[in-house]
Amino acid sequence: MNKSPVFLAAALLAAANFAASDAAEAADKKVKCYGVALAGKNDCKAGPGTSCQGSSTVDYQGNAWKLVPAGSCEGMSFKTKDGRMVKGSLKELKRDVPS
Amino acid sequence: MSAPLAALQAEFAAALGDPSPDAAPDGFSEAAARRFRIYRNNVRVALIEALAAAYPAVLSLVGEPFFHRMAGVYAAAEPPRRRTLNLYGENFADFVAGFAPAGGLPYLADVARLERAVLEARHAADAPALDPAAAAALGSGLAAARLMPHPATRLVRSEYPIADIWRANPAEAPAPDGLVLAAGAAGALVLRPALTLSVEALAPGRCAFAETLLEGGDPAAAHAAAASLEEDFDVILAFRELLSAGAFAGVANEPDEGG
Repeated sequence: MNKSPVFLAAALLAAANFAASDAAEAADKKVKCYGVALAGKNDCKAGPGTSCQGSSTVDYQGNAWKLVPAGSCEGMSFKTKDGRMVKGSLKELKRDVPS
Repeated sequence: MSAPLAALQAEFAAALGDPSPDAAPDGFSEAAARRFRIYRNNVRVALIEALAAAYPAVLSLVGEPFFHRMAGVYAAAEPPRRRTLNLYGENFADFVAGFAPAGGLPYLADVARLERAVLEARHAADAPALDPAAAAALGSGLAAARLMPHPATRLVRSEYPIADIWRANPAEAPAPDGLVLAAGAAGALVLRPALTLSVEALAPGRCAFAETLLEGGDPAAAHAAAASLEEDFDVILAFRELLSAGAFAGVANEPDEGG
């Protein structure tokens, strides 16, 4: 029988630590990454007057974001149709914004 | 010549609850009485619709005509006591338990209790859930700690599988084949730590464990209660899931070091 107070204290502590790692896993989620979505494929935010999702009109539009796994955003780089290299950003960008 | 306002209001309210077809406040002309009765009907329908919105599983189980009659009887006896109908129907489950025509569905009142818990959880204050790391930081003191329930946490005891019944009504999918009324269920736990509501069925051990904690007992007492019901109660899994799911809001008192 494993019902001693010492065992119980250890079991409760183990449970709390497991739960803490559950929480860490849940926090390991997605971030908004600006400037990486193809036209019409953004998750949200593409300027005033739009209804957000899927409303970006140019590739890699700087004021539209897509949800990506945390940590992966700023490492993304893409070549635009006119030959420039662009990167993702956690902040809104001024580049590739339709006039 | 007019009655004092308070007397008129009292009489108006009494006439609203009067089920007889020609009810109207004293002194109303026939035309005014006719309009009053339209208003009375609107009040009644609004209360029934508020109950239907709050108790969709009960509605689905008994069907609309039955529900409307049952809710109508309740509404006549229990006028709303708050200015909004968000939380109307506080003791509807008790009423259902005593409503003889529903006697053929012995689990109906418990399903209503669960729906009330869901409604309260949805309207409960928002609060951050206890960070499991903070519980872990108590170390060996954790066994004697008191955990404060999250404001949205509700536990509903029932010998019927109310969580499964609730999930199957209104039927978005066909009821699971495995729904057995005498399944040895003990209750259902309702949680809403952030914006997502969850309803979990609880076996007897877990039910006793959660109930003891929610009533302010420490984890050691909760474990004792659960282990007395289930020889091989898995305290690690049960406690982990309660902490992960956000059943608690904080630690009430820090146990003494080395106590």
